[in-house]
Amino acid sequence: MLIIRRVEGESILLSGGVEVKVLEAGPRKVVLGVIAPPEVVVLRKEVAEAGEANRRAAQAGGRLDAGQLARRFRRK
Amino acid sequence: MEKNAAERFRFRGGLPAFEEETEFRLTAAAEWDPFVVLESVRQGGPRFVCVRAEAVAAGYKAHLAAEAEVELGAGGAGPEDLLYLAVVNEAPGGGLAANLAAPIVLNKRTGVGLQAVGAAPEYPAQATILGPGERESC
Repeated sequence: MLIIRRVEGESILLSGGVEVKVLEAGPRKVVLGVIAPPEVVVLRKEVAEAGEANRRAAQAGGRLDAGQLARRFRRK
Repeated sequence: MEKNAAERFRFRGGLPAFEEETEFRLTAAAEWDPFVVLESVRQGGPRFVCVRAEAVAAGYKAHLAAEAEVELGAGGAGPEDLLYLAVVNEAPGGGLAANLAAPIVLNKRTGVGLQAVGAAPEYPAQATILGPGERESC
C-alpha cells in the first residue's frame, strides 16, 4: 500500500484525471472531495461491497425456498 | 403475520447494485418465520430472501444515520414500525450467510425502505445462518 501524508487543502492525483482532495481532517474522520470525469464511478467501499453482495444474493434468492430455510434454521 | 401477507415498500434510491429498482414487495408467512421474501414488483426484477436480523443476532441494533431516519420517516416510529432484515447469501464454503452489517430497514408505517449500509459495522457481513451440512437443498 502506498502511504502519502496530506493535510487539509492538499490533494493527490490519480490517472484518468482524478483528483482527491482533503477538505477537512478531524480526529475521527476526514472529508474528501473527489474531482473526476463523469465516466469515473466513485463509491464508498462499503456501498460497493454491499452492491456485490446484493448481486450474489439476488442470484441465490431465485433458488432459495424461504419455507425450507425456516425449517432447517429452527432445527439448528 | 398472516399467511403470505404481502406489503409494498418504496426504496427511493433502490438498493446498491439495483439502483433502478425502487418498488419492492415483501412477502411473509408464519411458517417462513424468521425468513421473508423481498422482490421487485417489476417482472424479472431481483428477488431476495431475507431474515429478521434479531433472529440471527439477539439484541441486534443498527445505528441509522440522520438522513436515513428522515428518508424512512422514522422520526416518530416505534420499535414495532421498523423491520430490520439481513439479506441472505450463499457463503463461500457452502452454507448460507446473512448480511448483518448492511441491514435493509423497512418502515411499515410509511411504506418506505432502504439499505442502511454502514449502519451496523460491528456485525459481520456474512454471519453464518446455516452451515454447508445444514443447508442441503434449501
